[in-house]
This record gives sequence, C-alpha cells and structure tokens, in this order.
Amino acid sequence: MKHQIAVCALPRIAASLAGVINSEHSVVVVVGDASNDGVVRPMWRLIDASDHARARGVVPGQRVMDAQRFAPDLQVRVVDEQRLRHELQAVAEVLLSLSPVVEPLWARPTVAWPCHAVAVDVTGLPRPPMRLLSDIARAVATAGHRSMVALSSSKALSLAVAKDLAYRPGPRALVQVPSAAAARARLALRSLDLDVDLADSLEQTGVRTVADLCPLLAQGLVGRLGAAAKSVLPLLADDDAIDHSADNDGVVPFRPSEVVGASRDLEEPITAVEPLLFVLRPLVESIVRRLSARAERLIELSVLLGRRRHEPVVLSIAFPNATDDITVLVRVLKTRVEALFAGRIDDVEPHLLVDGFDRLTLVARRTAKAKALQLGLLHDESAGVPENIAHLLAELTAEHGANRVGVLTTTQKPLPEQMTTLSWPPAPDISSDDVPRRRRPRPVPTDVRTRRGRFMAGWPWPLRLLPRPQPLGALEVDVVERALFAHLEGGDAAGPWRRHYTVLTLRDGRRALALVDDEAGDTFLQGWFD
Amino acid sequence: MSSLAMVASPESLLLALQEHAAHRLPIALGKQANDDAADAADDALAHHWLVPGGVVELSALPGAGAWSVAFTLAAAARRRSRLVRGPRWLGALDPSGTLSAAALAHLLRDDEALQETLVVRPRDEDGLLRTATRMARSRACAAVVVDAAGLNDVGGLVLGLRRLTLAAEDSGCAVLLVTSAKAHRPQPLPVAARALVDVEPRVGTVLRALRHRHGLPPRLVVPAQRLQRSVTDDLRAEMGAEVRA
Repeated sequence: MKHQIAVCALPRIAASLAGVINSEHSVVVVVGDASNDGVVRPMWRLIDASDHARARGVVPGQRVMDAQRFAPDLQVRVVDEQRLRHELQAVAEVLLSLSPVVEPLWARPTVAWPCHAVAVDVTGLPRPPMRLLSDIARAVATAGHRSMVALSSSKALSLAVAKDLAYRPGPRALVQVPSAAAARARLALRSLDLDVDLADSLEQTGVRTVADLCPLLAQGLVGRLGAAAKSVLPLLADDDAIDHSADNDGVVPFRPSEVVGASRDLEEPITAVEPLLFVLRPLVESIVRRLSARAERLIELSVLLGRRRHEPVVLSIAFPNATDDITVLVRVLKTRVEALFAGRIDDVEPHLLVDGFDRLTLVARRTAKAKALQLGLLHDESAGVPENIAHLLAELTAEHGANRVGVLTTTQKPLPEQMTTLSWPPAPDISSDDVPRRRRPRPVPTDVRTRRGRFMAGWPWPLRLLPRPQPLGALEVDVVERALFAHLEGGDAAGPWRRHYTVLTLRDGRRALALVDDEAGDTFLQGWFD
Repeated sequence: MSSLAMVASPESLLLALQEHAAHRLPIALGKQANDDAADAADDALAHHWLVPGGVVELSALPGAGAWSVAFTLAAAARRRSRLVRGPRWLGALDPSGTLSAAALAHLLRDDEALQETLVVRPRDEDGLLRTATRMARSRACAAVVVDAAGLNDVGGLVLGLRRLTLAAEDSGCAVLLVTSAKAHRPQPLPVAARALVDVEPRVGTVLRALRHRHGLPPRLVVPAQRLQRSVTDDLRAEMGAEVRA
C-alpha cells in the first residue's frame, strides 16, 4: 500500500503561546529555558515574530542581533521550551482523533525556516485526501493554532511542502503533493531541514530549489550535507525508493501521557476571581479537547493553585455525569472558585488568599469513555433534563459541598428529628456506563408510621422538624389546646430514653409539635405543622 | 395543512401537538380516585397562585401552612410540566434543615416526586437567591421553593430577586418564596404575586392576596384536611399488623 503522510505545520505556535501575534509592537519570540531567568543572548535565533515585526523584515531563523537591524525597538519574549513542547504534544493529542499514528516534529531554531509541525500517518484511512487535510486543519484550529497541511508519500517531503506554504504563503493552505519530482522543482531550498549557514552557502552556489540539489548527489553532496543528509535524501529519492522505516522517513508513533493535565505559570500572582477564571478557561479547554480526542469525558477535575508563601490550594471538582461541555465545566469551576474566595466551604481563610496564585495546574483525575450517540431520533428534547440536573448538581455541590445537596430520604431512626436524612440523588445515566457512582445509603423499608405521612393516633407529620428542640417559653406563643401526639421509648448508647410529644394549638390557629420533659416539666418546640 | 405545520420543524410540531392534546385529556387520567378531592383544592390553589416564570411570595408565620401551600403549588407545577414533557425536578432551599421527608412525601402525594426534589441546605441565608437563580436557570426544575423565613429584613433581597425573576422568566420555572410575615421590608419585593398565608381556626389555611400580576384573586381557603386527625382504614390495619407482629 502506498504510504500517505500528512504534515501539519504550525508556524505561529510559539507566538500564539507568547500572545504576541497581533501585538502593536515588534516582538520576537525565542525558545529559552525556565532556569535562565529570561536572559536573552544576541546570538539566539528567533523561532517566531509578531505580524508587526514581520512586516518590518524580521524573519524567524534570524539571530536577535540581526533582527534588531530591521527593528531597533525590538522586544524579545522567551518561551519556555518545556511549555512549547507540551503545547505541541497537545496538538498531537488532538490529532490522535484522526489517526492512531501521529508524531510531533520539534524544530531546531538553527534551521533556515524553523517551524514546529505534527506528522500524521493517514495511510489506509478511508476518506478522500483533501477531506483528511481539511479535517486535520479543523482539528488544529480547535486547538487555537493556524496550520498549513501537506500530504505526500514522504514525511520529509510533506514537512518541506508545509514549511514552504508557511513561509511563502499562497492561496492554499492544504496541498496534496502528486509526485516528489513535481514538488522538488517548486520547493525552496530553505524549506529543507538545513542549518542557516549551510543553506546560505548552498544558495551562494546558485542552488535555489530542491530540484537543484539532485544533480549534485553524484558530486559528493551527502558529505557536504553531513547530519542533515538523513532528512534531505528522502526528498531527492523517487516515490518508490523512499524508506519508510521509523529510523528514516516513517512516522514515529507518539504516546500521550495517561494523565491529562495543563498548567500555567504567571509572572504576577492573580488575586481575584474573574482574572483567575480568564486564565483557567483555556486550560479547561485544552484538557477537554485532549480528552475528546481520546473519546473520553471528565468526571473529576483537580485544580492546584500555587502560592509563593503558602502551601498550594487544591480544589477537587466532581461531576455526577461525565461531561465535555466547556461551558458547564467553567460554570462549575467559577462556582467553586467563588466559594473559595468567599471562604464558604474550604478550610482556607480568605485573608490568606491576598497574595494570589502564580501557578495554576489542572489535572483530569477521573475520566470515562464517552458513549457516542449514533441516532438522534429517539433523543427526546426533554432528555436534556437529566443532563441539566447533573450539571446543576455539580454546580451546587461545588458551591455548598456534597453533604448539603441531595434528596430527602427517611431512615429507621426512632426519634422524629432523626428520621430524615439528605442523600445523594440517583444520578441520571446518559453519558457513560463507566461513571463510578457515589455511594447511596441502602434504601430502608418505609416505616408504617411514615408511609402515609401520618404518625400514631392519626396526626400528620409536621412538615418542619427542628434539629434541636427549643424552649417554648422563649417563643411568646399562646397555647390554647394540647393533644397527645406520641409516646416514644427506646435506648441508645447513652442509655434508655422516653419521649412524650404533644400537639400544641396556638390562639391564632397555628399548630406546633412539642416535646415535654416529664421530669423537669419543661416544654420544648420540636416542629411546625407548616 | 395549517401554516403552523408548514413552517414548524417536525420536532417542535410534535411537542405543540402533545401540549395541545394534554389540555384536552381528562384531568383525572392516571390518578387514583381518592386523590380527586385533594386535586380539586390543589387545582383552585394552582389556578390563582401558580405563576410559571414568576416569583410568588408567601408571607406567613411558622406553622401557618405557607410551606404546605408552597409545595402543593410546586407539585402542581411539576404535574403540568410533565404533561408537556418539561423538567420534572423540584428544588427546595432549606437553610434551616428542617424539612421532614415523610411529611413532604405525603404532601407531594408521590414517592417519585420526593426522589426528584433536590434539596439544598445552605450554611446561611446570604447565598439563598443566588442558589435559587442557579436552580431556576438550569432548566432542570419545574419549581423552586425558597425558604427565606429566617430573614428578619428582606430589603436585601431586591437585587437578587430581580436576577431570579429574569432566570425564572427565561426558563419558565415557578419560584415560591416563603418569607416571614414579621420581617422588616423597607419596600415591596419585586415579585409577580404576594399572598399573606394565615390560619383560620377550624377552617383551614387562608391566602389573602396582597399583590398579583394578573389582578388580585379572591381570598382562598385551603381546607385543613391534612391537619386533621384521620386514621385511614388501611393505615389502622397496617398499624394493627405491626402491633400483632
């Protein structure tokens, strides 16, 4: 079978990460290390530049000192290499939804036209080639990056064509290369994976296109190319002669990490809810995109908010139903963060948050396989309701805590105020069978006293039962009638007990349930027939 | 073919036909015979005081029956919503944590309704309306009952109530706000309707309209059947069986 390898070039990924593409100033991006404290050396080569800088003649691949000749007011941003690699791998993960074999291609800044890319092996996929290319471009666009995609029988050729599209933009961003020979005549020499100095020296000898290299093969070109020959020779070979082994021109399968996470380091700490959510939202989107590519949805999200002087704050957000709805995720996250800043449900005191957070990390702790909906004919519109209640549960749990949200259930406990408990509602199951359910209390058989909502002697249950009885004397109520409600006797760890309940009718007609202490003769309010 | 059928999508047309048919079906369809008397009282109550997409305030003292009225209205909203295949959950905000499961199941006359009543017990009354707005906005609840009876001053609810009203209007959710009749109110709350719930001895619960979006309805008496002693035969039999066991 003829190999088909698509390469998706990402010429602006570094500028996008640095947020300088549309900057009003001339800004260039270099790849650095987090350990060098932002020191920029003039010999470093640019990996990307803002549109403003490009318009003034700055080109990626130049040294910083060379670029300053075009733009003396040049600003230089350093992008952490590790972060750039993670972003490239995130794009590769997204493309895993289209093909099982993808490979992120890291660009050395010393090559003539540096451009990061992702190779996708689409051999044997049953879709038209151009449809595949447009799907790849669309998937990369969802990750927030521009792309140029080329398809050919060789990884090196596709990469060269994609880079050529990126650096010599034309009307098309998707190209299917019919044959290597036809492509070579148009491909610029700089689109090859050659160092700048080598490309310059070859151009001085009159070599402008890749086709110009072919006659030089017999003149000792391989020796001149050195280590770069490995990536250049596949372009000079005919289609049938390309070696597709992993050591040469094949796509090396990329294996993403099992745990999906995203993080962001900030120069200045964030001290308010809205800016924090503004930064968290792209991280959530990144996680959801990567999970979607794996056909998974999120069940539990862990948010780690790093602080300089204190221990990081860890928030755990669980979803009753696995979800990939970014709007819902952000809404629940917002609720949780607001509760954190208000000091409602966390142990963290709000005054300890004034220093703010400077490192944000999101990790998908638990996921579930997404159940694909094949036919929508039986999908009732009101079936949105189970989803809605699951999302609402997640939101309310994030705000109030899991022990304050649920449905009321009766228990077998003998005391009236203990007969009601709040338990987790039956979770609607529409998204996945793999969602681990939260434990619900085992249903207890309904007590005959509660089955009809009536107690002994035919009195109805009070709708409101106070958790703790209140002394009746402090309530200034005028009781006109007392009637027996129930005598309850039992025992627990504290010993035997006996309770004497009466129904009080007040002068204005209201009725209350009272607990009478036989020994002291005091009466306590226990509930209201409300 | 009507113009509606020509322009509407098949899905929306089907829903419209179901809603149309629901109004023509016998009211008692699917109900037990012994529910009829209670239904008649509930229907009269719901006719005047169930305002889908609006907030109804019930002011009362504890024990006057405002909670019973509120949940009766919520149950009616749930029944109506189910007929048109709308949301069937109910929401209840119970900051005092005093709601009794047995009494509520009896009031809703449906165990399933109790299992589909989402209860939230906020730590304090500060976030009551914010949580109620979330519930109303979610399109998961046919009605939401909010217990603000613990507030001594309801003046701070105005802004939250406007947000809650917008959310309810958007989703069609009926919101029932229970407040204390003794609470200080610097200005009237922006609600669709307000009733004073009181008890008339040996008559029942009385609703006196103070404000209503569609004009003041007449004074309404809800018979106190549920508050009277009435040991039904089957309950007596069950209790006897338990004693014998």
